[in-house]
Amino acid sequence: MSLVQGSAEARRALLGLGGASAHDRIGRTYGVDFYITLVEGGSDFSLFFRYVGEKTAQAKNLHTRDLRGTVRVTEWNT
Amino acid sequence: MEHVIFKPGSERSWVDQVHARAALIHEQIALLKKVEAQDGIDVSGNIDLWRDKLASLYASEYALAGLLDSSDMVFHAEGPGAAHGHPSLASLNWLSSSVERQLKQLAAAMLDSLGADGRTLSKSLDLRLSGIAPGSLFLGVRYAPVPADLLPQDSEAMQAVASGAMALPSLVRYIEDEALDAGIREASPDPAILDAQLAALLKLAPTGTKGIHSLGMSSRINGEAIVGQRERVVLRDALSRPLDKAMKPGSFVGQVRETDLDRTRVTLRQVAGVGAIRCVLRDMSAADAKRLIGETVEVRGRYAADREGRPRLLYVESIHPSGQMALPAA
Repeated sequence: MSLVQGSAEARRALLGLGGASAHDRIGRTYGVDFYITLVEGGSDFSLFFRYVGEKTAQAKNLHTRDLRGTVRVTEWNT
Repeated sequence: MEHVIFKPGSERSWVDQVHARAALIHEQIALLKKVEAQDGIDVSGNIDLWRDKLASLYASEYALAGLLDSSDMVFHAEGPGAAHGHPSLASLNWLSSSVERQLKQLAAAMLDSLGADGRTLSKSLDLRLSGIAPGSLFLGVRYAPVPADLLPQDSEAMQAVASGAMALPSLVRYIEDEALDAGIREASPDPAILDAQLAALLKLAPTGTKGIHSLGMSSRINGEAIVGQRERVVLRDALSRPLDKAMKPGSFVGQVRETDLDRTRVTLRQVAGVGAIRCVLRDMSAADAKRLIGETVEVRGRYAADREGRPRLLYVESIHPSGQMALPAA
């Protein structure tokens, strides 16, 4: 979510989905680890999930420089 | 705004990576506060979520990251005794004493096979605890620098010991369901060193009696490999018979040095034109084995050679004090 684009109301509505209680509810309901992240000045939170954790790295002999792949989900209108 | 300190592709430690991931969370918290000031939105719930994530990151990953950064080898015990959060002291004791004992025995055996004085030199092997991390049980070990006052050839042998231990995880991958893959002889081409490494793996593989069912091990150059009951069976069988099908008959005279406490392995030293040969003595009694230590003997049997054709591992068929009649070894 951008800080400069869209209205304050849109940001309020979206951030309402990004709190601790909403995160727990969405996780229980849909089995999804769901986060709303803010974007400004090139910040890219997706990198957080691309880092390989230590346990996985130890098991698979991966390096600190190795990154996980990511999938972008886009709406598909037929 | 300050950007992430860790850039993909740069050389960073695991601890740096944890900090870099934390920095991304701090960045989100800072942006949320900016939205709060700009739009007057209550973002406390959002900030709580990120703080939970931050706490979880440091609690679950920071200790292991530090261990990986500072260790030459990391051992990872799994089983009810190493349960998350509160591993039993019996399990911790088993893990630390097993690791120390087997790394020292491996060092002594390797040093003997390399022609050095394994018993003496292995005492100067300085193994340090680099840390313990919870979340099952992780234990890190670091080889301290080789003492500067060693002879150059002994110093080289000591460095080879660390390499031989750090290669253990790569050898586990050759343990198949019922036997070892023949490729293991390429992975560790000196039959004497390989025999010592397999003996160390057998003794590291847990029996399950201390609440540990499997032991993972990794090193700076090898990812984690796991040994448990299945590997014990295969290793025990592999150590009881020659791996090399192309063995040659041979007879050697040298001095017997004790190598392994289980009496099935000794090192024959000062063998003319060869140096040291690791010998496999099957079914020898403790008294007979003890009587041989320090004696100059003649051994006959079939041996496996290294790539240069040097005899390295002898399966002994007969052994007798040099100059006397031969007695069967088994």
